[in-house]
Amino acid sequence: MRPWRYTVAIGACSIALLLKLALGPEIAPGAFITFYGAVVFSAWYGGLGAGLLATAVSTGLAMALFMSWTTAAGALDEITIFRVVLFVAIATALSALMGKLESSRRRILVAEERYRRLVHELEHRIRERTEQLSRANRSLLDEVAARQQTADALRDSEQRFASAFRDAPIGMILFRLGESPVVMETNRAFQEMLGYADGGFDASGMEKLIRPDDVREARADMQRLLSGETDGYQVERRFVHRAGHLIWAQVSVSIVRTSDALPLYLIAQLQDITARRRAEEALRASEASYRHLVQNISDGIFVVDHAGAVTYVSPAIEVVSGYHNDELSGRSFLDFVHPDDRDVAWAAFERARAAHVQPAEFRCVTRAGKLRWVRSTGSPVLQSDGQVGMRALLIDMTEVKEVEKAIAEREARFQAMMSTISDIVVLLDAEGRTRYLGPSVSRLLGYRSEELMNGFGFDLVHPEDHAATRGVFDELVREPGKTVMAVYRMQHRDGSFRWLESIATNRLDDPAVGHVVLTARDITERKQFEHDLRESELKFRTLAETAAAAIFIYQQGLLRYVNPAGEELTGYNQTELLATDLWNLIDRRFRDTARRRGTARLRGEEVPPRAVVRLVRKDGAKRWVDFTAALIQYNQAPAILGTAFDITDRRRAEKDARHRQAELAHVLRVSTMGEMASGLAHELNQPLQAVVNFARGCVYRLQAKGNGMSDLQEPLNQIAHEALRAGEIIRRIRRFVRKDTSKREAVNLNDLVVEAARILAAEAMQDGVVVELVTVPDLPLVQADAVQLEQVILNLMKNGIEAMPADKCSERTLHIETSMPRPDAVEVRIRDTGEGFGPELAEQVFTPFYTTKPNGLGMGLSISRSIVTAHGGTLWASSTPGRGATFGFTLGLNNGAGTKSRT
Amino acid sequence: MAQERRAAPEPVVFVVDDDTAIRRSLGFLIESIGLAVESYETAEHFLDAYDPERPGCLILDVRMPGMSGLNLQEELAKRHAELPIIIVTGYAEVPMAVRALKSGAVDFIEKPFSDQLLLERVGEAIESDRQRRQARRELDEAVALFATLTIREREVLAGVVLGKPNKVIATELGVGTKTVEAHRAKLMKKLKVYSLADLIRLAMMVTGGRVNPKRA
Repeated sequence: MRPWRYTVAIGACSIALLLKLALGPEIAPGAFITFYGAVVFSAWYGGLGAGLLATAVSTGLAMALFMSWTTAAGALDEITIFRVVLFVAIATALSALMGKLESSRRRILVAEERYRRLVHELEHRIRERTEQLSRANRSLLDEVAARQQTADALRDSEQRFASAFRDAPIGMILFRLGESPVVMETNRAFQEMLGYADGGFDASGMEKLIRPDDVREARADMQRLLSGETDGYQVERRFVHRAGHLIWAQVSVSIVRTSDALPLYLIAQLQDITARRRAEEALRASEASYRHLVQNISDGIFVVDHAGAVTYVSPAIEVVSGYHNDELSGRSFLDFVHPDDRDVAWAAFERARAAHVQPAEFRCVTRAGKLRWVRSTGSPVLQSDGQVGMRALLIDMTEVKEVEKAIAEREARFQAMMSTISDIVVLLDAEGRTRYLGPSVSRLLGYRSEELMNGFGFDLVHPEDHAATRGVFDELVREPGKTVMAVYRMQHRDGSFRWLESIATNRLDDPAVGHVVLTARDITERKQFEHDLRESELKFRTLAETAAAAIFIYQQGLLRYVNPAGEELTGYNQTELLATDLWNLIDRRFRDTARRRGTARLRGEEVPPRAVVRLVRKDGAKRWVDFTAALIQYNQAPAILGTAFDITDRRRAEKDARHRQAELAHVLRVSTMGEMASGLAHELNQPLQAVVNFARGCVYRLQAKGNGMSDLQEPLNQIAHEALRAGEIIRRIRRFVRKDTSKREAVNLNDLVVEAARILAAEAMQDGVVVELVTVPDLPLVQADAVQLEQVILNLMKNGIEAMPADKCSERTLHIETSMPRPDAVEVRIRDTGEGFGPELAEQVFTPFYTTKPNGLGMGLSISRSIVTAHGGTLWASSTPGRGATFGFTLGLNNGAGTKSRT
Repeated sequence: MAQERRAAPEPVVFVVDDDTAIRRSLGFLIESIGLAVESYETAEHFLDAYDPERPGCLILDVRMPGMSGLNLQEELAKRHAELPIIIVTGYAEVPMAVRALKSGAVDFIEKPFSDQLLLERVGEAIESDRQRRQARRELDEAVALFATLTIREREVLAGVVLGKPNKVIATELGVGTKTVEAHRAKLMKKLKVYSLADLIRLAMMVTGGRVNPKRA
């Protein structure tokens, strides 16, 4: 063996040399590396001697081949020497180390081989003994059977059997089978085996012998035997020694039956195999111990005895705990466990001893007083004294524990956060199943998180929103990393639906998350608000759209909104209006003022909120509007909210009313004058009459006396005449001013025309105007107020005369004519030869206060028209500019006025 | 018939007017032509003093405090006073004039009026009053004469008036012609008529046109 190992050393060195040469001479240091390899291999394979030989050979070869001997010994430089020395030292150390390793390995192999051989030997011996026993047993049975058959033979063999029984080297025990098995006899070997050598084995104490844990099994075996299933069996079983410890025994049990197969006796033979078992255990323990050493060399291993006293600790424990092995040995392991965890540790110890391998975690206290979390995995160890101790593997869990603690803290923080935020946080799997649900869900939906866990989130979604949300989710799941938003309703526990707004992100691919992360927020109030807002908006929109007034919003030079009434008012449609400058809609006369006010209002200045302006419609017609404006905020900027009422008709009505009022005032004035004139006439007529009477009385008297005062007669007559003339004037005035509208009488227009012409004759003549009068004969009478109609005719005639000033007109003729344009109407026309007027004035001349005269009131035609209208007739004007004007009125014969009546 | 006229009281022009100037001036004017005038300030004063036997006429103002002219006119009509009335007024209205004329006014004159117009109307009114009074007087006389006739004379008269010959009358009455002739002469003497024509006129006046003087 040895020469072989050295041959290996030489060989290894040779290979190293060849390798070095192959690598090339220029890598000088490489020599040592290859030689180190040779040394290590030789030492590992051949032991220390071979290693040293390899070292020596390597040194020699290296020096001979790679260091120059040709140079003088003195030229050997220090570095080379140092290298060689270093090489030798390292190679030697490696040889020693590897040699040591090799020898210990070898020792283990040898020990194992020895154990294996011992076990083999023991088993072989046991098998031999068992066979012997079986054979003896069989012969014994034969004998028993034979004795049963022949009492003589029995009696002869009785002695031999009894002797064999008593002196048998193995323990034997004989039971009689009846109601319950009764111990009949035990032999000496049995008694010695179980510590009852000095007698004292009580037959009834049989049960005590069996370990409580094994009693059930033993009974089962027995039962099998009694039931006839087998006639015998062999087991290895522990028995309790009288001293209390356990002994292992191989038990062979046989049954003796009568010829009719009834069980009669039971015989058990026990052979002590405790030593063998112990060796086996030791071997197993040693083997496991080494396996632990090899596999978990960084973890600690400790061994305690049955009482918990430390018998061994691995160096790792020494390092971690800071205690030396000596300080630990013999002390209870609990001394090093944190007081709070001692129960846990002891329970683990007990479990381990009962072979329940289950890790336990507890805190240990180091020498420095620090706490370390450890995980202990214990297994039972059978001690040399037969007690069961524990060997345990210790893993330092402190760091792990700290990490766990940190995780737990983070988790708690997360939970706290989840419970305080109002949004629901939900984790969903790819199928939409709820995997995590934040506690806020109870606030939002009234359910506790656990109730909804693992359910489908879609179950509570409003049926109308179900398909949509499902669709969004499916889309989301298809695309990793995608984020979607959805608004939908979910049912609260109370049955009502809540609006939720959710944002969900697909994090299924993210290993740290692995779910769809969804946050949901209750937006019911917002939805309600939106709903209210929409409703309110609709209300106001309807209000604006159906309002009779035009409503618009003006901002930054443009109209922003116009309602239908505004379209109707202006004649433009909405599109046209929104593109139109508001101010251009206003009549030029008002435009600048309106624009100035509007811009001032937009600047925030105080301006009157109302104005009456005139609009120009699309068709050019002008409409009066009552315009109201207010400053509002529209789209976050100041704007004008305006309303406009079309008051054109109202203004016309107002104008008509004013007109009528003026006329009424006139009527009142006239009737007041009439009344006054009546009174005046009466009062004046009396003295005038007296004047007439006295004057004429004087005349009569003078005539009667016939004296020379006849020259007084003529003046007296003149006095009377003048008084009568004054009376006549008064009468005429009174007739003229009287306006009694209720009085209608049959009037001949011809008479009125003639009278009017007569009244104006003097004036016309003075002005040099020729008056032509043409009356149609047999003119039907009309029911009318003669005074009023005369007034109208006078007025028209006067106007005609005044329309022909001497300095402008060469021909100056006023033509008056009556006619019957229809069989049921009469007409008066008054034509002048003045300048006339355009058709646009044909209506305007009738408006009150319209006048072309320097001193005119502008009431004449207006009053005339109202008088004619009151008679159911029409007053009209027509003119050709430069050719004079014609005014006329027509009265119906059946104008509805009552026939004249007198009270 | 003029020779039958008896001496009668002088006609008087009654003036009722609240205006003193009018009253006095009218009095002055009317007296100028030789007519008697009596003036009253109110209608009530006039009624108190009024004697229907006195001839003349009444000039009446319409508008007066107290009883108006028109009311006075109606009151007089009720008393069958047949005094002619001339109404004068400061201002004339058609309905008023109609009412006055219907109540029997002679005329309706609006102030101021000329003296000729008034005096003419006054003269006419006095004359008509005079004639009316004379006719009345003659009728009274005739009735008194008729009352003196016997029944037989009246019967004969009736026959004569109807133009019957004496013989027919005698036959109808059952008397002799001579008797009729005697009655006829007697009644003509009684009635102070001297011709048949006068007899018939008187009879017609008394009977009011009916030629049956039996019941007269």
